[in-house]
Amino acid sequence: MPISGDIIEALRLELRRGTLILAVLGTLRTEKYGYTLKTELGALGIEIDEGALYPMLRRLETQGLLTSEWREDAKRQKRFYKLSADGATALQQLAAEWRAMNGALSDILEGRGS
Amino acid sequence: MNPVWDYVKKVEPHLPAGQRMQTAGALYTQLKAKKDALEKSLGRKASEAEIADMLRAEGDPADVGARLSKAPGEPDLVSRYLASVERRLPEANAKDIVAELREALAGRIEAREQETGRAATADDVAAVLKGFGHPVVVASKYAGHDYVIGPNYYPWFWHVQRIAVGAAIAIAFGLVALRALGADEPMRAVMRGIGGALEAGIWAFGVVTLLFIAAERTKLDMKWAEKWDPKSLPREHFRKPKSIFEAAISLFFDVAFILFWTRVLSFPNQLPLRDDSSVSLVLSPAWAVVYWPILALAVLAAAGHVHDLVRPAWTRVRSAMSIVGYAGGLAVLWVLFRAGPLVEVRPKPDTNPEELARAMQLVDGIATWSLAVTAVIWGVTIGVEVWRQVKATRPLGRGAAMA
Repeated sequence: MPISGDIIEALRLELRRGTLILAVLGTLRTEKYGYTLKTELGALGIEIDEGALYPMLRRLETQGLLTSEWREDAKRQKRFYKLSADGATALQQLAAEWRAMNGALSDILEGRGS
Repeated sequence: MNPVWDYVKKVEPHLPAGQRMQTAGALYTQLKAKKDALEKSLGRKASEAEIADMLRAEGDPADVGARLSKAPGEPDLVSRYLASVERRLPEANAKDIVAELREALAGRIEAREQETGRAATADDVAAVLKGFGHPVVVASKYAGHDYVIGPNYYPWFWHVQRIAVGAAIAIAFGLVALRALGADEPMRAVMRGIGGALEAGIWAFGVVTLLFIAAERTKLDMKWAEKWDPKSLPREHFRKPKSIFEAAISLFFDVAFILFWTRVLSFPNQLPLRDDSSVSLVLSPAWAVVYWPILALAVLAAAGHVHDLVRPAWTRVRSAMSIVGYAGGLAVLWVLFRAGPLVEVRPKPDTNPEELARAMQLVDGIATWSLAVTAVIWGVTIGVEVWRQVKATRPLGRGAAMA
């Protein structure tokens, strides 16, 4: 029986969930507001729902990983987000974790080391 | 008398219901600041006519209301969408979140206008909003908790429900039925017991659910759940645990017996005779010797059945309780058997002596036979229970692993 599309989609979402935060933190090493963050990630092939992006930014800010401020840009008030000092440390640790996992996964997926 | 306040009151009915208070408040602050600035430039208090002029310059209250009802240039759909999200946001930063969403939506709509090369229509705006997500979903993502009962707590949810609902049903059924036993006919007592049990079960389910929701909200520490001993796992491959229903019924009879034994309850003890008279049966003095042992055994049996409800598994402790109970029971039977007549028949003065002798013979026969049959059943039960224990303690490997 072929695996249904729903199952694949659920697995894909689960796989992406954790990496989105890493992508957002990494992108916010330079200051951005929501919409440019989304389009920038989109251009790199990482699609993120805005309905999920804004709450995520708030959560990361509450956790102290991001800082934000309202500023005018192109005649509109926009909320700009940037990685905080704590966020930079967290990003470093998460990136190391990601690289280790990526290395291990590459070995597994390409059939090396077993 | 405050003309600024009166003016704001005239604007208020024209504001959208959801944000009437805040918007009116903001307008009042704004107009008050204008009046203060006016008085500062005049160097004295403004006259009523001067304030009226200032307010007239603001425009008709209805127009002001309409203007304040939406952000400049904001399509009606966006306002409605944002109001719908705002209603569901935590109050502390709702305004700030909505301001950000408003900006994000404006950016989206603008992007769409650039794509299509024309001003956004209502359909365009609707499509953008739809892409953004349902207000309930968007607002919920700001709430900080995704689950009513999340994956940390869910595995325990049904486990605890089973215990709580089971115990509540058993206890309520027992209590209600026992209370009703004395007064009513048995069927009505049972029905009342079932009704009470259902009610208690629903209550228990609700209370446990609320406690789990509270645990999820407060992110209750679940470290204690890691403290468990694999060796205390039930031996279910040897013996299925009793069902809740079975255990509840057993417990009910245990409690009924204890109440009878301690004379809290009494049951009819008349034996009808052929000559239309009757004799009353009472336990012989032989039973007095074993009064406390029997009470202790009944309490032990009840404890065992409570154990079955709360932890439905044949653990070593439960099996030991069972073996001790039956062994004690056999000892009591032996004492009774040796002590002689088990039941005394109390005749009424007019009872026919022949009938009385027949009744005594019948009762004694039944009692002796009952004891003998009970003794055999208990003996076999102990044997089986002990054999199970021996089998269970044998190392897994050959026989046990196959079972």
